[in-house]
Amino acid sequence: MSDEWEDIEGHEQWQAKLEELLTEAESAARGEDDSKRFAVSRRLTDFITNSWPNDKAIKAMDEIAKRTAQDLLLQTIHERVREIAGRTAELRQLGKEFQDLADAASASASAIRLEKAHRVAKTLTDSVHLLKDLRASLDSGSDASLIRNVDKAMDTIQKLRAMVERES
Amino acid sequence: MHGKFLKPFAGLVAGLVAVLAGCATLPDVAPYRDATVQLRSAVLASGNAVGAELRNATLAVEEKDRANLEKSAKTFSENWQVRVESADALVVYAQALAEITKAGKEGGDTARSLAAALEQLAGGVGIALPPAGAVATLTDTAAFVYAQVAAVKASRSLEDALVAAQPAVNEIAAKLGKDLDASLALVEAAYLLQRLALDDKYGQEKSFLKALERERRKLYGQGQLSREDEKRLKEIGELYDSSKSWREPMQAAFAQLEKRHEVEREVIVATKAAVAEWAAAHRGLAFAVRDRRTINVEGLIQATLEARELVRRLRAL
Repeated sequence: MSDEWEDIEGHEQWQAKLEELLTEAESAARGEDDSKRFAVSRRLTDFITNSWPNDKAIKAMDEIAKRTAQDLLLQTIHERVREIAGRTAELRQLGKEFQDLADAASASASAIRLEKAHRVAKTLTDSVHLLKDLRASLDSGSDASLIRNVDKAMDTIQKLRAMVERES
Repeated sequence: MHGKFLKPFAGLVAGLVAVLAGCATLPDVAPYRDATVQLRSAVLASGNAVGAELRNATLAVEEKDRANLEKSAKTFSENWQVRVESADALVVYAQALAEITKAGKEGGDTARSLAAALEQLAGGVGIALPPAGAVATLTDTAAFVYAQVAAVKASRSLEDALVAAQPAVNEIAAKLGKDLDASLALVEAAYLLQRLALDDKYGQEKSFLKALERERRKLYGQGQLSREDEKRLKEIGELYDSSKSWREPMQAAFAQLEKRHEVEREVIVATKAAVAEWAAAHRGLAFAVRDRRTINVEGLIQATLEARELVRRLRAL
């Protein structure tokens, strides 16, 4: 038991203590310091635990103390939730910003890994194989013009490959 | 590898190596990425703890206040989800930083892999390659040179990314810090509401025990004990013992609430510390890349490990 409650005797003294706490609760409710609200809520709870004797008058005081503590705590909850909700739009925006920063960093990593050059080399190699298959299937007499074009395409690919080497 | 690939490099190799060697030390970003993953878990756990306590508190208030409190609990959880999504983005960002470092450190492999792809293509279009030994030497040289080039590129990309992100890092750390302060207030208020309800529920019992305690202290306080006093003290002891059947469950209910509240509070405090360490480590990372030195993320690792341990304890409750 704390000293605060030790020497309180009789209804009048308990009534005076409750009035003191209610004044503090009112002041805490008007302010924005959560720690003051919690401190007075705890003292109101302690009031309920320590008030004595447990007769009708004391129980009525306990009920007032309980109601006051509860109102103070509920007010704090509603205010803090509103405060958090008030920052949500900015946090959503920051989340998107980090996603963009991540995309840019990934693009840098991809460039260092020469991913584009790898993709071009792979695509060109696949194309060469397809063109070779096509050329093999053509008739040298009737498809002479197409064969020339296929050869030209192969030549272009060779030049492209050289470019990839230079640009890598 | 075909000779053309190396032509642009051939004359530069000696000079480049001399210039680049030692000037592209890449810090190990993996611990930072791993700590960011832990940070995300701590942000999630903090929000879950607050949401759960607010829901518990709805059962501790009177009917007329319940609907409003339920609404606030729901609003909190919906809004906290955005914090978790932001933390997800931080993880993706940290992963991308680690990718840059990895790419920078694997420059030699990258060059070898590209050389292999180009060799395959050369074979396809019928280009005559130099003898195998010469190709291997050229590839090794190119890989060595590109390893240095990749490290420099990665170092620059990493520095650019870190510098570009620092304002956003500062801002998100400040906002999450405020959110966690508000969360501490929420969890405290929710706890006090539940304690108030428990005090109310066990009001008679607590008063009875207090009355016994008052009487016992009064008897001991008066100095010499009479036979009557001793008899009464014995009765008080017996009354106290006989309260065991309801006293122990009551004490257990209070102890459980206290314990849960203590751990939840610690989780939120540890998460706030981890967020601050995370932002500080990001600044340290930027300086380390700029000054070509190693980074120390020990503080961040410790903070996130502590948060992880507390989250584990919270889940175990």
